[in-house]
Amino acid sequence: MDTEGDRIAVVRHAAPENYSELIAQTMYEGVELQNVVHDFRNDPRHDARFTQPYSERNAVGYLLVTAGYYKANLFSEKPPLPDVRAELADGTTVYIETAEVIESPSAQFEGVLRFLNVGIARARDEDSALDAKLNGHDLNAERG
Amino acid sequence: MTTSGEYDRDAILREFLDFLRSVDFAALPVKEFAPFPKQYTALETIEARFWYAPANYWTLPRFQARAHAYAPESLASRVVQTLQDKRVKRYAGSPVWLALYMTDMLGVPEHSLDVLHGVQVDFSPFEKLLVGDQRAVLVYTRHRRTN
Repeated sequence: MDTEGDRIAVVRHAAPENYSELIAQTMYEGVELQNVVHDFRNDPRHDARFTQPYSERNAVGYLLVTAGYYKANLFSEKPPLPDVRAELADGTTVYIETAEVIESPSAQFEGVLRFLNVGIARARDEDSALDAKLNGHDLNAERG
Repeated sequence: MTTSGEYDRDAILREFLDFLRSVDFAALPVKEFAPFPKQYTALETIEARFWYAPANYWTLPRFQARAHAYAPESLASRVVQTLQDKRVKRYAGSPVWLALYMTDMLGVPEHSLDVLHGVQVDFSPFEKLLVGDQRAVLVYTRHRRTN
């Protein structure tokens, strides 16, 4: 029971074995995800982050499939509506607010990694001598 | 890190690019992690290591995460905090669900779901709450009281 006296059911779902196939069948504005052009914030050669609406649809799509809702059709919305309108396979429409949950030390760390990797990619693009030098070499770094 | 606890990312990037420009690949250890030379103080501060191998394919040097310790309870607490932040807002449309997607690269979200499962969660005004990632999801469903 919650504070309003309603009964609350909790079910844990594991991702189905054919998860990738089912994700590909999720639709963004009527187009199956496998045919959707990714929507990046910046030049993806340097910075592969998606736009916020695209990330929101991804988050909702991933969770719906893991929870057993297949072939949903997702549309981005603007306030006061929640982030995503989902037309489910059974014909019902639901409105889904979403958020990424990430710890702040992790967020800070992820931000630093992204900054470094974007900087490395840009440097290789802009410095032909560095680009030539790196050919034939695989070098990666990790922080402690 | 700086004395304020933040990463000096500009210095780290500058030193890493300097290393790439000046390194003699033939002199590097192959397929094993090694520390950067001592003159790269910013890289040393974060205990960075590199891994090298000759390649016959195009690669882009990248920084990655290393194995680490973490507490599942911490991310679970973050879920509850995010839920509270979303509950105080008002939304148009009906029914309204909430989907909380765990993307913490320093944690294992499934372990945090273990912590959350069994905890009483009030998620009104949402009709349904989904919490998890691409491997596992907890679905909380409200069944309205009928008088």
